[in-house]
Amino acid sequence: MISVKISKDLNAASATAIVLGILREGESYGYAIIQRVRDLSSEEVEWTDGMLYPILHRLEADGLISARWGESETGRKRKYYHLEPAALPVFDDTRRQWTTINEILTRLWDPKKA
Amino acid sequence: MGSKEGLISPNALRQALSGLPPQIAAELEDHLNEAAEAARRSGAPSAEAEKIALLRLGDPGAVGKACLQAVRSDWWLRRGMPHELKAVIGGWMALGILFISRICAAQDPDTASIALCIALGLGSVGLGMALLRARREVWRLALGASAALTAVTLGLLLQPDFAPGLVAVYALQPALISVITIFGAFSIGTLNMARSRRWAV
Repeated sequence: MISVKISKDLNAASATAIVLGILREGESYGYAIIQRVRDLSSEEVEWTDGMLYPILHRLEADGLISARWGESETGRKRKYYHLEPAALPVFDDTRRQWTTINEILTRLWDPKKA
Repeated sequence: MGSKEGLISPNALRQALSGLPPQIAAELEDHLNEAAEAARRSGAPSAEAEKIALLRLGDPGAVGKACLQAVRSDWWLRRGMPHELKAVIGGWMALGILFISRICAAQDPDTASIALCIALGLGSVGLGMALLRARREVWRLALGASAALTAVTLGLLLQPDFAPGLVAVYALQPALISVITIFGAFSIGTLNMARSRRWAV
């Protein structure tokens, strides 16, 4: 994969969709979510660790995700997040939007695929 | 806040997370330790791993502030404010305005009555405004203030000797006291329910 630096604006715009998508896979916590983003993007998308937490807290405040306190393997307090049923329509809508944008750009830049 | 089995030194944690709400601090503490452990596994010495973790997180104070902003800012505009909460906020504000306005209509009220009316009026309006911004950090305060305000109001209203002019100012009737009691109970119940409904806590 060619190394691409994702712009700050695009990172911000896509972050919610990515977080919802990761939590749709199952319960997770902050550091693991960031690692999952790195893995999914083959480390092409580089989030600053601190940008994730306001997103998680906003989604929690919006009732799209919930959190519970548990323990890590080493006994530390850890906050685990999971998707609420209310998030599923939002997730589907977000997916449709990004798919549409992706299709538009693909047709525009690669007419053979249109 | 102590770091259980963590790689980040307690001093560094204290310095990085000081001033943050405990729950946010605990979450970031776990993150920092996890990031430091990952850096250590990649071969970084302990001191270096600590630096890497702190560097990747950025300014913890700014992260904490952004978390609070994300939770507080216009949450009720984004989610829609429940009718029960609207009623509680509107009711407290109306009560505050009533307390203040009644004093204007009174003839020669005594000083204690004036002070009481202004205090209760400002208190009620202030509580209504606080509820507008209420999120998890505020709900205990709002709940406590609501209960205290109701108790103080009723306690004073039931003692005409405390402020003789008060009876004339408010034309105290058992019905009014009952209404305030019921409304106080409704407010407390509504705020308490908010905990489980996740709209105001």
